[in-house]
Amino acid sequence: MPNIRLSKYGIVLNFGITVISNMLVGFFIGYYLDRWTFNNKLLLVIFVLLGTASGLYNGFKYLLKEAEKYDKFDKKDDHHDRGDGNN
Amino acid sequence: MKLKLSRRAKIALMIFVGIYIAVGVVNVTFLSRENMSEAFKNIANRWVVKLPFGKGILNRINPFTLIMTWTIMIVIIVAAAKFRKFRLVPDRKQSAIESLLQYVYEVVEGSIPDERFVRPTFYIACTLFVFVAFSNVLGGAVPGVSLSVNSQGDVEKVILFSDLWFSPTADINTNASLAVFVLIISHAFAIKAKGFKAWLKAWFEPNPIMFPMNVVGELAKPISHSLRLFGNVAGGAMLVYMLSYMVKYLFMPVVLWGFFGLFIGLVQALVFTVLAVAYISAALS
Repeated sequence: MPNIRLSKYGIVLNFGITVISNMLVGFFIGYYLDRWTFNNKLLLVIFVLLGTASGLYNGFKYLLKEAEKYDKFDKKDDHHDRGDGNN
Repeated sequence: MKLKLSRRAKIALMIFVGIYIAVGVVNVTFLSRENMSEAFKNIANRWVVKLPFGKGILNRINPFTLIMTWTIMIVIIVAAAKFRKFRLVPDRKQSAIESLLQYVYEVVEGSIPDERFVRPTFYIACTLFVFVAFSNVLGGAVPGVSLSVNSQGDVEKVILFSDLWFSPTADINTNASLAVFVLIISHAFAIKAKGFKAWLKAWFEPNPIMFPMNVVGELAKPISHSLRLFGNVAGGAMLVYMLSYMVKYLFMPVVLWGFFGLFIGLVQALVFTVLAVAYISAALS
């Protein structure tokens, strides 16, 4: 992967953006569903909580995926460059 | 890196610096000084035209976005038609294009698991990268035509060559349509690759309880994808304008143009492309 070094500093930013955008989507779905149905703000609360949970779930999924990629990359790096295995 | 300049280039550079300083001194002494609140009054306003149909946010457009998008598309198509004939021994421009396309191809090849979809994804990624990079650089580093618009959305005056071009990626609608297009295409590829049933099953993984979260997470992808590019490009254009106003007689604006226009613009275009490829590969795997 050529872009792995470049994306090193974007991981934290990507995590934050993922969480916030999920919360936003939850908020908007909840707001419009609420206005369309009962109009008592219950669905809004439910969907904001759902959006937050979804944001954390997807964010951590993303972090785990990146960590896996880095493990693979580091192993290859150790093998080729240093060969000492810095544990 | 050590620069080696010929005698002629040194003399030309000295003449350029002299003219630059002279123009700066003339500007400082003679030019009318616009008030700061006067200069930044219309900085974030957009030209708005109401359509005869639709309602709410759906019945207004920004015609300048349309004009700039079509102009950029025509320029790219004309340039592509010019480079249509590839030679076996490449000249300078051809090898630049080849190395760029090869870089994008390597990114695509490294992350798409299914071999049948490498070529189509490569076409999509290249199209996105060329369009977004071109419009980002145009909106961040090249002085050109832009509009001064009051808060009602009417054009007050046309600004010629004292501000940057209006970039179509500084409008959220362009970015959102590109991101939604990537979302639709990733799911179309997923249906084609895995079959309809397996695609439907992927929504209920790892547990049927997770279905709403998967839906919200999937809908959040185009939002984060588009807002990131929009924030960087629109904010970069505004920052260049404001900081250039504050240091307008010095060398600083050139550096700022280079940083916000070329560097941030190209990095964001690359990030947009890589994210599009990552979304498609996540839908495929």
